[in-house]
Amino acid sequence: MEQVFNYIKVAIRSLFKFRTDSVLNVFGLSIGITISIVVLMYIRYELAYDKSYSNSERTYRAITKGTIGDVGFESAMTPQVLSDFLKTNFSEVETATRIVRGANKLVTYNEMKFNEDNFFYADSSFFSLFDVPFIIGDAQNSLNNEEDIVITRQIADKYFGTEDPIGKLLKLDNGLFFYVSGVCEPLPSNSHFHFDFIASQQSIKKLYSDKKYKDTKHKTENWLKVDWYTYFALKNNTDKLAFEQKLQKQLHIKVKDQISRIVEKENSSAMGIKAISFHIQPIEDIHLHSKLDGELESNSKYLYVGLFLSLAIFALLITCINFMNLTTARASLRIKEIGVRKLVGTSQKSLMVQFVVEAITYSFVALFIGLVLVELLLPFFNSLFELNLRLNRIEGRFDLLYVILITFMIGIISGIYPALAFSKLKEVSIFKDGFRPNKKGLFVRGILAATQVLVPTFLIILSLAMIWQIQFLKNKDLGFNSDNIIVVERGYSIGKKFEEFKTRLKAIPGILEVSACTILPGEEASITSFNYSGRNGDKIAILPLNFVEKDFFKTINVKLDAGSVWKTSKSKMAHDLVINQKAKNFLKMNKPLGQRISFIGNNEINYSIKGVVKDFHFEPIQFPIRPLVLMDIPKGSYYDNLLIKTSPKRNNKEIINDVNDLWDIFTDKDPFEYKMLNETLSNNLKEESFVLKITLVFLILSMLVGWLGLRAFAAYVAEMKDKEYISKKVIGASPTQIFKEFFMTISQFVLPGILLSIPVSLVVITLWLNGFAYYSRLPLLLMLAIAGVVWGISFLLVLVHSGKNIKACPTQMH
Amino acid sequence: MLQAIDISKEYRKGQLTSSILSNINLDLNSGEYLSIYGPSGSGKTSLLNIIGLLDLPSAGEFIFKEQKTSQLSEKERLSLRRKEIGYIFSAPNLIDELTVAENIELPLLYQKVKKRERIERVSVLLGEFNLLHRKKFFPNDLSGIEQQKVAIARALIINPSLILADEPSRLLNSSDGNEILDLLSNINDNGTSVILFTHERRIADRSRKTVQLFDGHLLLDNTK
Repeated sequence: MEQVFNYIKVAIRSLFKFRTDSVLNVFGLSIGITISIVVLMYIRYELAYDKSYSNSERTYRAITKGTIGDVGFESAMTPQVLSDFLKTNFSEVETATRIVRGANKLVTYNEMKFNEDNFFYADSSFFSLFDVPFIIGDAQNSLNNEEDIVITRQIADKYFGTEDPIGKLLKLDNGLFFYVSGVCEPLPSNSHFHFDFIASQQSIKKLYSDKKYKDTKHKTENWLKVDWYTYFALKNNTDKLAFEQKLQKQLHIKVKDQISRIVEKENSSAMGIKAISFHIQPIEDIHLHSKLDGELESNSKYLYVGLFLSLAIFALLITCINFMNLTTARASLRIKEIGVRKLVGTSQKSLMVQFVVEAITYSFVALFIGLVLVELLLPFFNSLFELNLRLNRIEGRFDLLYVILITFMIGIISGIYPALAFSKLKEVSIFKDGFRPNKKGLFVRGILAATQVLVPTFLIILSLAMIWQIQFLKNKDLGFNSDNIIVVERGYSIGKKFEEFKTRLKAIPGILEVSACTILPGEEASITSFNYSGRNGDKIAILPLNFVEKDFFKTINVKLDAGSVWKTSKSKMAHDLVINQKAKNFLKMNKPLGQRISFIGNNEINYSIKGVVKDFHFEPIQFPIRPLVLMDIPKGSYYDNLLIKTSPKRNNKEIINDVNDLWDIFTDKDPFEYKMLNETLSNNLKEESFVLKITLVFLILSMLVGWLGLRAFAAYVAEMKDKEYISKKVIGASPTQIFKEFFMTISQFVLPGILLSIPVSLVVITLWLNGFAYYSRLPLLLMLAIAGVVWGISFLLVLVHSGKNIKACPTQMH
Repeated sequence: MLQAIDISKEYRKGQLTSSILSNINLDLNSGEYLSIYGPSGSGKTSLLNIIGLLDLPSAGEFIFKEQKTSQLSEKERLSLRRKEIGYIFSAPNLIDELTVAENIELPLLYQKVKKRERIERVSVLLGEFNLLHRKKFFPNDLSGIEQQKVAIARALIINPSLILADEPSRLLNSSDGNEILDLLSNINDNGTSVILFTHERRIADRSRKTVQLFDGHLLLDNTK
């Protein structure tokens, strides 16, 4: 044991003695450790999604797959009736709940009004599945009444401050009202959805019964309307597969019955639905494995977790190898100590122990630095990637155990090679010739250096290619003009007074056009099934549909290809519609103008095609342009988004203030929320920017690692060729000539690595670009230029690190 | 040809200054053969470095071919020794990856001599040293004396006016050692100046002129 302390002492002393090298060595290790800790935290966070509920491992979500017309769909939603059906007909189901996102966002308490995004309706079983802790009220009974609503702690603070929230009245802008019946903690941040309000779903019935929907019974038993999320927990030891099959079998009959009923009744092809089947997915798998239509929040991909994990392992391995490289490359500095130890009788074994202990000591110093770095970098990392990671202190014991184990492993891995290499030396040869790294190592180390340079080069090219593509998409001609367009959200607050509001708006100086639409350009369009007459009789088509006001085209400057836009009719909605060129081709209409189209399930009203617009990117720019139908909104419904085109001559801020004033008059001071259309469009590139950010972070880290690797390799080569260079200098080689040779030796390995990164990048970039309908690849010439620059940088680094040694006087040779 | 006037050499290590050479005066005419002998620690190596233009004296002046070396830049000194001085050490210091011919050719490469001329000069020397049959061998496949011969050939390839030999026979047995020393005498007979550094009186005595170094002082100047 005393011996071990002696080793640790020597290790720490040599850490200070060979300052730059040892510090770099430890620094390199600490980077590796930092990366792996952060990445492991991230992976743990991702893998812990939806695992915090007491029955998480047997909680499932039901999903729907099917075909409409010729198009398949996979939806995260199910018919509303499913959850009750599960509860009553399956003994395996312990409990089931259904939820739906509230479309209306305006919540009022006394004078306070806020727009709320995370408003859900759910049945009373919700909290038995998602059992978050309750602060006030009880989980079992808080959604029993029609007017019950449960809010989160943050919402209670926001609306009621220090008042007792229970029994307080909250009003919605759709006429519903609720009394707060409970306050709970929010769902953990790593959940696949988040709520602020959970309102009793029974209240929704009022919406229908208040209006003309008399036939509510029929509505709720509709198996073809897929609009609720269904979650359920299976009892312990239930066979998931068997249950799924049983479920499908029973529901198959239900669906079939209903389709045949509709076909009889309406003499059409059952809304185009050909088949529907229901499946189940474990709730724990949703975040990483589910990418369906209508996900509650956008999910991540398992691929990213794998990618991160392999990068972490890679970073660790590389830093270990660097450690070996640096330690053995500078062996001559330690050779005397080894020789003396051997002469006084150290065994080979204990010499090995010494070097391993030394490496472990270094890795613990590195661990310390790494933990400090993690603590410092975590807030930055969290805000960059919108995560909520923290060094877990409460459950920290386990983590610490892992981290310490990993550190031990790192120490052993990085110490074992130097230990072997040094302990094998014969004392006679140590004193006679000193220790020189042998040539056998050159190839292996060269390959390592090549990889260490390949990775950052690859990442540089990759991130530039991403920036290139993102810029390409940003600069792409959208087919419409999104500049200077203010979008006022929740336009339906204006209601029937839209025309009047519009006229008043247009009187404001600086406002050029005013219009409205349901789905904003740049947002994903919803699809609807239509009937139309084709060459071979009636046909069904599934087309994206957007309701727009007639000036929409003028406002965002979409060009007409043929025909014209509908006129406003005083009494009813216009029965004309406009399609785009893609739709014209899709429907195979040579002369589209005047052709008739109708909604499936509502054959009484025929619409005629009045105009054809040129194709424009009405959806996120990643998607190909699809066929599109644009029409006037039905009477009684109102547009979600108001579009205001302003003139660049007047300051937008002032215009917005004017609009806000007018809005307050028209809506009785509903919250006024607006954004610029361009913001929505650039938000569409969020995922790409996210991936780019990850790449950039890894780029920086890999550049650091690459630098250390190059330095270690250069030190190794210099040490190995030391004698050769001195002889060459003596026989008349100039320092420049020697340096050139030296750099060429290094380049032999590094340059192929740099060049190899080009084909690797090409493959990865091509794979990545496959996800885009429109793309522009970084030109090959630019990639070559980058490779050249990297080579140049490595030249400079080698010059800085080894130039001095190489230039040194050749007097120490004899 | 070369003249050392009052040369001293000091090394500083932290606060300590140690004097390696003091007030050395030395003269060598073209075509002379000089032996400098002394025990280890006497300053032979430092003197060799100065004479070989690898280092500068701390004081005094060293004149090589009528040029004051202290006034030359490092580059000028490099080009001077490139053309004028050949070095032979006790270890041949050949480059393992290069063949015999390539090792000999190396100095010419650094002087950017044309390929045809290089080949010519190398093969002349290979013939002279009876190494033609070993031309394509690598140093590790040669005997000790062959390696040393290659090293001498490499020193001669530039047609130097001065050969500096530092214990050239130290690592060889006595008969091989004598062969190498004979080779040096031959080189001197052909008109090239030779300075031999050794710690053995017996070897030093082979030359016409001998000086002894002891603790950095020149003790004896003896011309036979």
